[in-house]
Amino acid sequence: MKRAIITVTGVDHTGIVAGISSVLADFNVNILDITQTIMGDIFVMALLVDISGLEDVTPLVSKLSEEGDSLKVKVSFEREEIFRMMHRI
Amino acid sequence: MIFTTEEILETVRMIQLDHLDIRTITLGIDLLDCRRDSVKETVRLLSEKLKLTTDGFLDTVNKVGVEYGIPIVNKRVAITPVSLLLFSTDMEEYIYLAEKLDGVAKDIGLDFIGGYTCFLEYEVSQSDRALLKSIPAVLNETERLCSSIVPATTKAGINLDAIREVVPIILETARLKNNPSVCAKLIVICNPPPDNPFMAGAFHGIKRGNRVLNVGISGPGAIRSALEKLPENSDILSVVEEIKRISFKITRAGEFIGKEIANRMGIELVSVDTSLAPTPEEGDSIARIIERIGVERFGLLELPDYYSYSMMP
Repeated sequence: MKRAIITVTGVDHTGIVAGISSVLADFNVNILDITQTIMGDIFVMALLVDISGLEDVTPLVSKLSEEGDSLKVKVSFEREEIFRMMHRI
Repeated sequence: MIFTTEEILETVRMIQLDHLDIRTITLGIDLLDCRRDSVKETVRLLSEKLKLTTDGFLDTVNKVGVEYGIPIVNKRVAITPVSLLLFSTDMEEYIYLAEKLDGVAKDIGLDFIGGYTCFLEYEVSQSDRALLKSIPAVLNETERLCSSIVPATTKAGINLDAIREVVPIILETARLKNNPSVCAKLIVICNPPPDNPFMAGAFHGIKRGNRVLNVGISGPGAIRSALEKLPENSDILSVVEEIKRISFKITRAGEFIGKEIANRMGIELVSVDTSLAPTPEEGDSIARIIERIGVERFGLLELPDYYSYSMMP
């Protein structure tokens, strides 16, 4: 299974989860796990998603970044392996 | 979640704020099999081989960059040293070859191509001399071709006769006004590794294989930022521990990206390098790390004019 982690950071307001998850639904990307916290006054959300069905992730990544811009949050997309390489031996 | 929020944020922060990136992906290509009796034929064959062997290279690199979320800045090629590909006493023939190489690099979309190289540690042959003399003109007229000269090695010693011929070439190159980055494309180096992926001295090693991949990771920003989080009076061992921890993380991530690109291209990843080279980004420099460790100040208080010239990544 190809998995990625999408990280959303920014000032908390309504509609962030809805906005991001509707983009994922449009691309038929399943959310496997989700976690969110408030650090100081910054909203942080991380989503573990299954991207096995995507041949090319470029359209998804640019759509997510567009959605992030309109929600005024920063969205970043990385394959899960990057985190495993950095944080697990 | 399989990772803690802190772990996820640390990685995202490294990429977004500390400029962690894959600085270079360098494809080494063997061109020894392109040598023919005629210069034209040699040049034609090696241009063709370069085009064939880099097919899909940029596309793969860009795709992996987006998918894994780590920017990949420079895409480069290192070729068999030109002094082993062409034997001529006519400087114009080297210039012809150089222009072709530069043209192919532009067509493919490479940032740099390295291997306009000669080895002079034992002697300066007639063909070496022609190549050497062509260097200022070549660097002035081409954009992406990088050149290197090896006038000494620890085992062979310093070839003083070669130094006498190389110095005027360096001066002539330095006086060229066409393009301020001309000098950044030339390196005179002792003891280069037998296979060298580092620009401007990059060349593909003999018997290194037909095509191999090298990856260089940029880490100064990530390491500096980690050191900034240490308490003011930390002892040197905690500084060492922090550098080890961050270096491990960025090297593993870079190696993984390199392997992924190599796998997709069906070739071998042969080297991983954590680059200490600075970028034009403020603070993205090894000097800032050493200042953070405790050395008061690196460099001059006032920067001379030439400092503003773009630097070779």
